[in-house]
Amino acid sequence: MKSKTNKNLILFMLVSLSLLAINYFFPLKFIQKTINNVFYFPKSFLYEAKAGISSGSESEIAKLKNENKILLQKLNDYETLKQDNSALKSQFQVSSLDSQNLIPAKIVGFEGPFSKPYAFIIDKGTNDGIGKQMTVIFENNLVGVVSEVGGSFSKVTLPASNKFSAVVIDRETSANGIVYGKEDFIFLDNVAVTDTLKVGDIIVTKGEINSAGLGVKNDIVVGKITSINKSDSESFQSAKIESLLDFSKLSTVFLAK
Amino acid sequence: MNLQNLIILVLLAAFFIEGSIISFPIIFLLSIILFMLFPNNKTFITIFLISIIADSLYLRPLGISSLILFAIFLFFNLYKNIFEMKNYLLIAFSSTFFTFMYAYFFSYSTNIILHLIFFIIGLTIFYILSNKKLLW
Repeated sequence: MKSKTNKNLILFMLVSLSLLAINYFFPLKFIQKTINNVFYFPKSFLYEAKAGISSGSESEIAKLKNENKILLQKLNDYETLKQDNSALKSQFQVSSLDSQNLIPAKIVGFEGPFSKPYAFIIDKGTNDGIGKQMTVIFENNLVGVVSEVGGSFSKVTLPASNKFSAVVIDRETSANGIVYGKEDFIFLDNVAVTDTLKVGDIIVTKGEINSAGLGVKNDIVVGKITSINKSDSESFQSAKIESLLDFSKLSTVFLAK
Repeated sequence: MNLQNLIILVLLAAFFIEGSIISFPIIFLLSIILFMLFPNNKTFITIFLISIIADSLYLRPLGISSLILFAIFLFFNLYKNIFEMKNYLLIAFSSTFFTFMYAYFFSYSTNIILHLIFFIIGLTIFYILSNKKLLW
């Protein structure tokens, strides 16, 4: 009996390993796509509820709790459309990027702590023309970079993630540097001591577009400097950066083509 | 409805909660509990399928979660066979440790308080199950 359980466990391990190997050479996108489509609506709804975006509809739901389910559903649909509309409106008013080159996407999940997530799962994938390294923004602020792409969903690595890095420039002083995610904050490093950094300076991306046209776009706001670490004995100075976005309140983001 | 089906149902519900409301590997922890209670083929097939769905939702390589889970189950099983392990404390500690490691490598929240809360819940569940002689 004991050895039978062990044998079965080893068998399942081998099946998992085979699946992993197959997926490495021939990505099983159709499986991902089907599963993502099934789970899209409930996950998207729950995420929005958690983000407090639909707080307006929630209070109305409280008032109308004796109403029937159809009425509640209609109300929720209306609120979702309203939020999408206002997000689109504000995006197209503020963004310096050509509005026609922006793809709106809804956030359906997250990784890491909710207040400072490391990654978002969005409802757009290869079917919508999404590719790795695409820049994700909200109102001209950097949300992150697409790191994984599935059929219908994609993963966006956020600046706080330790997998994130980007070349940036201080908008006021033109000092160059590289930002890294440190999980709790965004870290600006590799800034020459001869360059000037000031608390409150706005840091924007310098642009890292590859030959395929993908990569981080230029002039996207990463955040503002909150503290500086400078020593004359070192050749580089560093700083802490705080994003102007509250990531926990986002529900719609935009991908720059 | 028997306990095994009930846990499977909770596992399915966890898909909607994990990553949308809470950043904690609930599916992973529940899979360990399911294995501790019912180490049979039905459990293995269920956990395999559920892991595939979880991998798809998080855009991980398909099969990675099930591979890790079955490796941990094999470790538990071998340890149990060699040392005749039936200590619920050890099971609770090791489950928490593996869950924390899984959370760390797959970018879930590694908030100690959150893990401590789930450890206490797990400890209580394992204690009750151990007293009822349901654990393995």
